[in-house]
Amino acid sequence: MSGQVFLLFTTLILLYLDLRGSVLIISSVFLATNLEFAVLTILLGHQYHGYGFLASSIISMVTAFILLAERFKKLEYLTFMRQPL
Amino acid sequence: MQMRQDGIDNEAARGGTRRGVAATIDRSDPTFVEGEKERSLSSGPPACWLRILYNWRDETRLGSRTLISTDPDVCTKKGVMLLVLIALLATVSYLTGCGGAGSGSYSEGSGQQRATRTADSTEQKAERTNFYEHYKRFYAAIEDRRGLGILLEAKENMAKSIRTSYLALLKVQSGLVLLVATLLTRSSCRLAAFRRNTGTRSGWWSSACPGRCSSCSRL
Repeated sequence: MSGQVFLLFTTLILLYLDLRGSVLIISSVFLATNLEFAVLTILLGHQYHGYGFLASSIISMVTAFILLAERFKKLEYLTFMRQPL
Repeated sequence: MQMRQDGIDNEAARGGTRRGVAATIDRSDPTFVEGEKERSLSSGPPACWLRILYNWRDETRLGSRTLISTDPDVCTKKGVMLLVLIALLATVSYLTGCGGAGSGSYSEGSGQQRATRTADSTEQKAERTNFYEHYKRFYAAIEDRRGLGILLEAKENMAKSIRTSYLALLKVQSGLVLLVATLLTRSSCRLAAFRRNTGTRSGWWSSACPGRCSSCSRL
């Protein structure tokens, strides 16, 4: 639950900064890992149901943190470079 | 519905309110036993709207006829749960109130922001936890073609407010996780006791229950 909240919060900040590409990457990672872990936990049995969502949330959250930190470092550069000439 | 109402009327005519409550039990149920009905009705306060729920904790048998409202401990349990919920609400209100104070200062800050845009940049206010204010200041500085120093300062303020917000979020989420973990542990103990007594196959709750809780010791 907390992992997803942090993920949503980080995504919101990235959208504030108009970094839609980063949000697309994060959402794709979340989709792929969630699908993969869901299948895996279904195969493992009912004892593991729900852990897949937790794992994919944490992985996506870490990805989002890394992307936010990396993009935020060069925010002014990205802002100016994206302006049309 | 009509049959159920007839049943209530017949029972009420025979024995008053408490017997009327028993009429809500489905008599067509194959597990229904007349003697059990009488036993379950012989103790406890009059049943209210909770009467349709069966007490699976204290009489952990399938087809149990004991009603939750006839449990003498029900008021105590409800009181404890209410206290836990009030404590949770107070914590969340306190933590979100801190963030709300920062947001509340925005209207005041927006007025001052207009002043700072025409005045010198050194008149900027002290550090706040308002992300949106710093965010607007950053992009306003770009629009006004200000210097790189001002841009970097606004960016640094944005980063600080994000860090503060993450910290507040971490506090709220930690509290929620601890509370949910506590409640789930209690529920797992009850489920484990229920499953053990009914002989159904074990699940995750069996491993989660240490076997020393109050639900287990009752059995």
